[in-house]
Amino acid sequence: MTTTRRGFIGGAIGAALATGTAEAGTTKHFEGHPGRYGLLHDTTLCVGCRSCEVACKEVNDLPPVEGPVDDPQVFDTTRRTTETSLTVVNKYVEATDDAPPVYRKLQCMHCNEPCCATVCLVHAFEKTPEGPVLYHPELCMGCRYCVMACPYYALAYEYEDPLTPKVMRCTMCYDRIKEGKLPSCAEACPTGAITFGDREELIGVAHERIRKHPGRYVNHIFGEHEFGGTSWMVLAGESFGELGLDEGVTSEPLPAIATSYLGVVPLVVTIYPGLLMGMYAFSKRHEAVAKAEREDAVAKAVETTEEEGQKKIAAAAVRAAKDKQRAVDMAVKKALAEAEKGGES
Amino acid sequence: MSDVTVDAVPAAVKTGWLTPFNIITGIILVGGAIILGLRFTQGLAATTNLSNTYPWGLWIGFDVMSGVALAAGGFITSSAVYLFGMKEYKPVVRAALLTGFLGYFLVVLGLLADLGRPWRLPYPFIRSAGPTSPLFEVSLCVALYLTVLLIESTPAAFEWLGLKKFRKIVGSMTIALTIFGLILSTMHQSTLGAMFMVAPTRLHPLWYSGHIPVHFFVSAVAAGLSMVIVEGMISHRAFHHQVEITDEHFQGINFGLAKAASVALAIYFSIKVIALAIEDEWSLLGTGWGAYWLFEVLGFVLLPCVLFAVGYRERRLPVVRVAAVITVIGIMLNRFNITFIAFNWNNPTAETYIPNWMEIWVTVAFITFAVVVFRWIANRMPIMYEHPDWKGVH
Amino acid sequence: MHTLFDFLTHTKGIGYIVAGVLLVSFIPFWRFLTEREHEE
Repeated sequence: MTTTRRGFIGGAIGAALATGTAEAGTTKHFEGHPGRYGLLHDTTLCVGCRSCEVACKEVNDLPPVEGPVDDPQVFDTTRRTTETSLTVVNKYVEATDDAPPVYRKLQCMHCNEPCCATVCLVHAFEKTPEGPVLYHPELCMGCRYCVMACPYYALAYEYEDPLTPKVMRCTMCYDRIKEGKLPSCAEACPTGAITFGDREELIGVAHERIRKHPGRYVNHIFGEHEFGGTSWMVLAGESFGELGLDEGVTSEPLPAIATSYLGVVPLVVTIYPGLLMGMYAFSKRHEAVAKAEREDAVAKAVETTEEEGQKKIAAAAVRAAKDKQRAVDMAVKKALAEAEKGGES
Repeated sequence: MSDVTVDAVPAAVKTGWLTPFNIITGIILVGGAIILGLRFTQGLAATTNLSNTYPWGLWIGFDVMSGVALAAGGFITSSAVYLFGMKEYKPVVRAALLTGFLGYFLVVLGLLADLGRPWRLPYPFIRSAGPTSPLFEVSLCVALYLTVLLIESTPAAFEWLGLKKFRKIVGSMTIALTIFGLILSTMHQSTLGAMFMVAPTRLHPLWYSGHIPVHFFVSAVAAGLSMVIVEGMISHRAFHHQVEITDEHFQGINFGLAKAASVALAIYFSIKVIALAIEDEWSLLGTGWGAYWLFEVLGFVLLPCVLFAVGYRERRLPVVRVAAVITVIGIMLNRFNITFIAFNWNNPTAETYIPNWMEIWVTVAFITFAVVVFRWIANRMPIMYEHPDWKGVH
Repeated sequence: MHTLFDFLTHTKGIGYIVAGVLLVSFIPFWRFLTEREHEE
């Protein structure tokens, strides 16, 4: 169990995301194109000669390496691929008294399930049956989502080109492989640190090497399963975290992770209209009911006021009648009293 | 003894073109145009600090990510008024929709500047579709939503131009457009977050989550509500002579928005805490990145949530406004964190990215452009008031 | 169909078209459902 930051993060993410391809909305499993090629990079054999870098630049018509190839100062910084260097070699562990330095070659890993292809909105990447992931610059809009997504930081972009910039990355020498040749880095490597062949067979080769020399290798083939597996696989004598690789990540393919949320889109599109029209109708009904209740209340209030008005008028009429009667009675009484008085005189 | 008067005041000043506002905005816009000219003659390398490790910088982080979130006020207010019958917010709907339209227009402008080959923008729809890409969905929704917002902005224009027939036609489409707008907004606001799900090893785990689409949508609601308040702050004063509602009504609107914003931020805070729990990330809070995460969440989510609540309860408008400004800044901070600050937090080259002055100038120029257009439209069309011929009609 | 990527390209492509058609057909459906309400 590694204690590197990467490893911890990888483990945490792996645990959370390892729910299988059900994430992508499918329970199907995909094995990839049968008989496709791969490469095995045995870092215990790499001596940091950078012949692969030189060969790659030559075959791709790119500017040569800066300075002398064997300049040891190159390894003072951790380099990454660029738009003119489709592959670089880094030194990850310094030499000790009893161990040589440890190098690793970086380049596009040609993933089994490439996330660059998944995030490209113009489908400018394809995973070929032969194994390499190819890029089609004639479609590319230059959004650089692929550059952003690659967990291996393998893609570069021609920012200096104002009108025809391209994504630049290792092509696994696709044209050469189609002709039956080796990728130029594999051909140039003098120590056998790069082996090219059938991916399944290479896995067997790797297991065999580990079995034969258990003290030499960490018992793991990086790239066999990580994020769905890669074409470039790595053997190492150090933990892969030391070599700048994300240990402990899930075997769930990145396309599954990246597209899992998109399953919501058709649901929103088909559920919202009915739901929202329902809310709209409900709020209109609510308004109408509230309006009707208001009108009802006003009508009632008017009615009550009228009723009370009537009652008041009636009561006032009764009172008036009573007053009148009393006034009449009093007048009669007064008249009678006066009549009596008049009679006596 | 001459009766020739020298006219010392140039004609332009006399007719009022050379106002300070126009001069300043003019300089900003011309400068922006020059920088964009550089971009298209010498490449992005000449005008940005973008790199192979940092392919997305300020133009994506602000113009696209923040811009879309801050333009959310359009769908929120129009849904409230037209779908849920909250008529008291009608006075702010048109300004919110116009802000939304200009905001999304800025997104497109930002993309045209940032894309390697912007003339290929229609390619996903006319040449080669990549339907697996969250960005495909975002671009489809943004294109459609821009159209919806455009149509929703035409009633004001038709009223101004006296085109009664057209005004009636677009008026009858309001409900359908509002629903379509709410569908599109739900999708692209959340999918902008889903775009980052592909990079679990590159985005720092405190910001990365399986729920990041939900985080983006809820924070967009808070952002939209806050922008309506902030934009209202400015335009209510700038266009006071046009405003017909009472100060009391206007304040009531702001308090209603504050109440909603407080709830939205409370929900957002809760789901951020839940994200920690789901991935068992509590111990990360003790790291440097953890402190920075706490700074963002406590200072720009929890704090404005409380301020909105207090401002609403005590009916204190200045408190509400402060909360709105903090929220807006917080959304920008969150989008920047996810795009280029907490993104690549452990990149192997220890590179970092800081936008250069040209990227900042162009961003400011885009915002200036939107402000200028808003002002031009609001000075002529019934945005801040109701056209007398159409009073009371929706 | 050998890779998940190819499968997703296929299904999501169809998915967008299907969702779009269903969305548009909601309008005539709603009209059909509510047109008798206006006959008063």
